[in-house]
Amino acid sequence: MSKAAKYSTMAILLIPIGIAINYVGGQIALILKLPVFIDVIGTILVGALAGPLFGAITGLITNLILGITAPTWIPYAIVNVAIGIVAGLCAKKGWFKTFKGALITSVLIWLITQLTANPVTVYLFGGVTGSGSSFITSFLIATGQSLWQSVITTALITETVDKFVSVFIVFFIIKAIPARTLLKFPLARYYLD
Amino acid sequence: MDDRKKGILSKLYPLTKLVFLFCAILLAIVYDWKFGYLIMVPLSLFLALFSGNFIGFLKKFIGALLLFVIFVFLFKIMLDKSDSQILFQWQFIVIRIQGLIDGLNQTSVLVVMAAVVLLFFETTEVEDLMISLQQKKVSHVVSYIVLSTLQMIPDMVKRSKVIMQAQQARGIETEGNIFLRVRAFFPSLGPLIISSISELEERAITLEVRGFSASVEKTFLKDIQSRNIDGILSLLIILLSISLLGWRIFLWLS
Repeated sequence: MSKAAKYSTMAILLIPIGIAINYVGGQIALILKLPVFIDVIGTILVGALAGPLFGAITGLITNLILGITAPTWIPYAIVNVAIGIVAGLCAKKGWFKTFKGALITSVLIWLITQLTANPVTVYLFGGVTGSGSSFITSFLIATGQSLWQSVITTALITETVDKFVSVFIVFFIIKAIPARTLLKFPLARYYLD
Repeated sequence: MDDRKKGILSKLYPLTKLVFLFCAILLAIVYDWKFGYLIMVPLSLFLALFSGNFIGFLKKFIGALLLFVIFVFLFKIMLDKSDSQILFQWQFIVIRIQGLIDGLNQTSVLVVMAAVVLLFFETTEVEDLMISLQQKKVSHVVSYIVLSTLQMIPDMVKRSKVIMQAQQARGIETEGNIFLRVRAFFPSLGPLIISSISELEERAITLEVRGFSASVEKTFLKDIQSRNIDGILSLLIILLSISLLGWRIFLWLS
């Protein structure tokens, strides 16, 4: 087995794990009744370990598979893909290695989420976010705000903490992965000295 | 799983149904709510009934859309500032016809999408879909990722429960105020992720031993075949969609 083939098999194998982490993370947050979604940790992790392409694939397939039982997830695939790409690009800058870098990454991932999710919510879903946060949006509309204002305000309230927490969970998890395992992923050289 | 096999739709080649799915969504995007609500939704319900998956389909369809549709109508009625005919008025609540039409138009694409996607997976095994895609030269890597994910998710849910119980036994509180619950999150998820990643290399070696990266034609344990009816149906669906699309473009231009 060539070195390149081994790398890419490891990266391919990481994708199903990333998708399952996206799902299980959300479930654990639900069980612990936390006010966040935490449903993109896997995408960020795969992006950080294997690069933007693999991050994007993880994001895409996560939403397609969730779409089998809940088709309203499918249009949001674009958000998850964008998050995977940004996470991968940030990892290639070495930003997952330092606290400051992780902070910049959080801001960028938060920004790309706002830029991609809100148009989908407004144009395709007419402002409905499909979760409990729709109650916030409907409250804001009832107070006389426009649809865009209401959707953006809702997203700021619900997504901000979520994305920062997600990036930092990945940051700490990468720190906890033993070097000998880390070495086997495509982007290992950005983490090991 | 077995009762899915009985229906007529279940016997069709997965790609025939996939063609139907994409054509239906495309047409729902270009046409207004009448196409979605008066043609596609009744058609999907009829097909589900015809194929013997009616109850399961209806449950999932309503479950996936109810909250969404209610909220869209609520938003559209609240945002409606037109002076069209008033349908219903009670104190400060005013429902006008324009608000309802806006709601129907806004939801139509997603309702059609939900209907055809749910119908598709109600009558198709994901495994069959992947085999048929692979027969059309889609990479086996895609099949592997999708199918192993479907196995991985229930597996990891089970493992996360075991880990949470183990952590509880060590004294980590998973109930109580918000700070306690936030503190419990990392010890619940962290070990799950790290243990899954540590197992990766063994999985990689197992796959490579079985020739995952070998550049030869892959063989299948299960064989599914496209019948004549599948070819005819696909062709009919595509021709019908093209003519409906042409008609729509003609209406736009004239």
